[in-house]
Amino acid sequence: MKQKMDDVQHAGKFQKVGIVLAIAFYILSVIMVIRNYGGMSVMFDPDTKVITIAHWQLEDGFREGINAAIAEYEKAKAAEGVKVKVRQVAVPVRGYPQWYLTQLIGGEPADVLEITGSSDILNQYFTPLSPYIGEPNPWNKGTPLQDMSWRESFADDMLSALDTAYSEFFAVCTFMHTTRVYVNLDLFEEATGKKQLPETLSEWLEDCKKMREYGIKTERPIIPIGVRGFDKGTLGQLFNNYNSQLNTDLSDTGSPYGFGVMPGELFRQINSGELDKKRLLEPVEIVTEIGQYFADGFPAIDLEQTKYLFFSGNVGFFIDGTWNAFSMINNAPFRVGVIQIPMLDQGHPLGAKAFGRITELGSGISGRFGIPKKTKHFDLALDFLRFLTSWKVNQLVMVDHCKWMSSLKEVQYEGIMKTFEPVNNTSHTAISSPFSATGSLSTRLTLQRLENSIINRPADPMQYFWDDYLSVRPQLIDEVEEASRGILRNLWSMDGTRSALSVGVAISAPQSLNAKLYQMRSNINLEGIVSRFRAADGNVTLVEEMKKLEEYGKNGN
Amino acid sequence: MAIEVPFRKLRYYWPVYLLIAVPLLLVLVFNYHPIINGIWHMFYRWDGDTVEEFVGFRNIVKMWNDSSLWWSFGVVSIFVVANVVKMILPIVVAVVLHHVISDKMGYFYRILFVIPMIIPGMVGILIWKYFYEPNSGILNNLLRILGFISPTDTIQWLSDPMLVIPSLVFMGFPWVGAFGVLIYLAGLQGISEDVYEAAGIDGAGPLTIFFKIELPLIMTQVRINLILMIIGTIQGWENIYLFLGVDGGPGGIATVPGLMIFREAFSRGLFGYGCAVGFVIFAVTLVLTLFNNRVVRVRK
Amino acid sequence: MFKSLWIFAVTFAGVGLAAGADSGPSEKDEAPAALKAYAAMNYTQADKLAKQIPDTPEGQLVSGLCDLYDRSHQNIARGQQTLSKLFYNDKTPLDCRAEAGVALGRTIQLMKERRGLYGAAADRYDHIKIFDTVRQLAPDSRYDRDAFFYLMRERLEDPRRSDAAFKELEDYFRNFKGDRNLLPPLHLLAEYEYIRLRRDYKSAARHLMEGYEIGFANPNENRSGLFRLAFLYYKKLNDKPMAVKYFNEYLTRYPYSGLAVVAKRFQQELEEDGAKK
Repeated sequence: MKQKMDDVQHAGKFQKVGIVLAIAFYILSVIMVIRNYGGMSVMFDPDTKVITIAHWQLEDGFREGINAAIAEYEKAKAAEGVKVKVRQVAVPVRGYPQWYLTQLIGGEPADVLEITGSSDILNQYFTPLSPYIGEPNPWNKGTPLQDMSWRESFADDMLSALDTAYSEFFAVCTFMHTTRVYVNLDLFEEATGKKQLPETLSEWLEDCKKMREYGIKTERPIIPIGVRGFDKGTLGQLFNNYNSQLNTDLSDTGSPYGFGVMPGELFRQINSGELDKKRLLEPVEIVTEIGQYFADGFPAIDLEQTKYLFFSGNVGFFIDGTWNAFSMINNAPFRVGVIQIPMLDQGHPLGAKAFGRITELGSGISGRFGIPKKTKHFDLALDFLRFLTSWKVNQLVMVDHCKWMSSLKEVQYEGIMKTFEPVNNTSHTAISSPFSATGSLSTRLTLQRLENSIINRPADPMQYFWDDYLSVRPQLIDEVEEASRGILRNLWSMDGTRSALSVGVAISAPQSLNAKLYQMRSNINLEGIVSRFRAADGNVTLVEEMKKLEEYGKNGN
Repeated sequence: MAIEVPFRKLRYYWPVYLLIAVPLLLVLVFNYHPIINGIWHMFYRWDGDTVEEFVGFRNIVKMWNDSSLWWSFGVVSIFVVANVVKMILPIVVAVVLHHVISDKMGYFYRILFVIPMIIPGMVGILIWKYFYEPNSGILNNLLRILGFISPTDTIQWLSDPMLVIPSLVFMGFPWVGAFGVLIYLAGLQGISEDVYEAAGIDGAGPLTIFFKIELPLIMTQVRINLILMIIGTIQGWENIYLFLGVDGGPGGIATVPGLMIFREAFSRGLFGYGCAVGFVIFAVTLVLTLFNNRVVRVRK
Repeated sequence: MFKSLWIFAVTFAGVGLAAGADSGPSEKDEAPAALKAYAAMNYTQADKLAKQIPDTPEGQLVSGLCDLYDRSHQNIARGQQTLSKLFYNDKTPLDCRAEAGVALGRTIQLMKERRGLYGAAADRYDHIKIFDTVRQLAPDSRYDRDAFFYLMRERLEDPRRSDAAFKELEDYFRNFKGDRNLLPPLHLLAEYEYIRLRRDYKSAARHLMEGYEIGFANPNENRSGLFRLAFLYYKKLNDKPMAVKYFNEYLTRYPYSGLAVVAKRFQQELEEDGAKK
């Protein structure tokens, strides 16, 4: 009995402790919520408007940059007599699509939101921005962009932000990325004995060989080239880069409709003997050669592991995008240099045919932010979005803080940022490979094939690649036929858009701005339908020509 | 014990049926409806959203011709057999724990086995991934220290096609999961002391006691675990996805049917085909479960 | 103002359910609201509003169109039936009738292209006749343009009718009396078909130029169209002065584009070629 009483008293003490803890944590969470909302003054001041910006960019520097922009914005608005508080919410990318959709459906989304998802979601939940992009951005006054419309102030005239399904702009792009090679300068100098970083492929491979030998000599596990093997991102970048360097001239003849290449047309030329298939396979040989200097077991190594290896000082070159520039440069315990992916040179067996560097202008622009329809402060959200994409602030956020490229024109890059600047002192553009440009399965299988080529080291990588491509041809043809069905479905939806826009014109006052906007979008829609016709017809040719492709040793007639 | 209630008297038991109705409705909506929906959509070209086109048996024909699907079933068979073998150690550990004389030490050992359960599964997988990392991972470093490989050599546990599947099988070593140990231990603790006394009087040794008394009397638990293990192994894919990505390793060598469904549905948007593969998994699991029930008999 | 309730809302926050769309007024004259919702491609709301006015042509039009285009609640047979009733009724207001005709014609055309899926379900309708009727009802209008756009694609593809179709295409442009801003998509289609079916780069370039001069609505089309025009003159038609003219214009208008470097290269080649001569 006494034991029981003791137990009961004991339990009572624990319960009290539990209640106290529960109350304490509740109070703490309330304090944190108020703090994150902006403080007591914001919560209890009816004149202060609070807007929220949400995104998934957790890379070093981005949030700091946005915070710097927020501070400038709040100051600028305070000077105008407007009390505004901007909150930043960053959500990890893996959970972002679900979080974002929940916010949109739930009716309380952030006021400025980084967008993702299908066109249908954008149309349903986001405010169309086309009425606003024709006017100059007021925050660009006194800058080189002051006379340009908001649309024209972007490096690509906002083309990357155009949603072709609805012929509408639901967002604006805020940054741009390019691919570069980060170099452990200390290791490079120790291993190669020189300071000059490689510019050509031959130099690069020679330096990698020296690094490997250095590793053996010093019994260190040196990895000449670190890559993101897990998602095969680097393989794709290298393949596309060298394919463009070798075959960019095919754009002159690769499509009957003008400049550029169409996979079906390239295969037709192979089948007819006009084009030697080996031209399209040479990038495979180059990537296989470079791949010999990747880390052992690279397919299983993800980005974080590779970064860890790089920071541990055992990786010489690390190929990655500029989104990691801030952490790569600031967090490494050694000096870091940046170079472009080395150019194919005359000294290389395949270099005689190469055309040099490919332009990066107009590509890699992303970071789309839009304004949900349910925002309570549309004018303020739009104003903040304009502020974020103004010349001065975009430079502050992207270039100064994130070490990222800006999406705008006339932005100045200095110091190490100059190496990230898009290549423009060249005469050639990138082209796609017909092996990987026919759908997501073709891309995945091409990268797998390249990976296998590096691991297995076949005697003739080009033949290995071609034979493997032919072995999966039925699946690829299936994919193209599925894509054709998708185009027909899309044409149905686009006619729905046509119909809606036509009704829009009918209900708008003649010659009104609304009517003109609907008419413009209607024309965009029909122009988009023409490009769908092109794609559908292209797929028919592609399937016909894929079926005719012959074995490796045989050339077309 | 259940009693039969005539239909005309049902109205007197309406609270019971009302209480059952709610969870039953939830089970129908959240469990059975997705299954029926999946079977329905296996005859469709379906993108998971608004595209729904009836294609008849096309998905089934496609499955029949899909060599990678057959390969994935082969891979999962290897995992099932390996997991059956892995079931032995928890039984052995449970028997050993059962025979620990000191209550305090027995309690202590049980705690030691249970503590790892609080580690989230995802963390465990990431730790194993680091274990297998070829350049700085624990396993290769250990082999270097022991002199089995040179300081600059690496063994590519998750990239060498010959080593991927053995590495996945080895994962979780020493395969003594607390869940299994506790289940078997509970079964063993249900065996009466009289049985042991009688066996001792008859001169039965430890092995005889184990094979003739303990193992048969915990066969119910073994059978349940076996069924759950088979279902889990055939349906499981998350480990492979985390280790090797959506492609299932070099050349897709470690692709399992569950990963195929994920890839076809969520990467390629072929939800109809994914449903068809899902139905096949369901059928295979059902057949194996029935087979298991026949073969693994429980002596009452 | 003390936002006390807000604190409790945050504490017990969960995912909110959709607030629900605004429910429109229940008056009979819902037409503007249903049409407005449809114009915003809010099919669910539009259909709901249209069903409140089932006896009006606007309500029937929106219902029929939603049945066709709202994929989440699609009912093609019913939609086509509703639209055909509207279309074949002389008393239907012109805008409704013409739009019903275009949507009906186009969906029938698409169904006939996918017989594997739709079988012979669309065979009871003659979409060519429907398009022709729309064109007669509303000549030189956007309905006429849309109907002609879809008709032309089909006629040009038919080898037996191709020559006549190309002639009809040229006649259309020559005789069109409506807003010329409606024509650029047709010029784009013409350019494409001239190359695809006849490799007639001269006619293709002419149409591209005409479309460009009116102005493509899609800024990407304007930009790539201008480059393509210069390229066609350079590489396909060997008309160097025109090529130089349009490359110069491209470089003036789009100096930051990806193709600017290529335009510069071609411009240099042309200049060197000119210098040699």
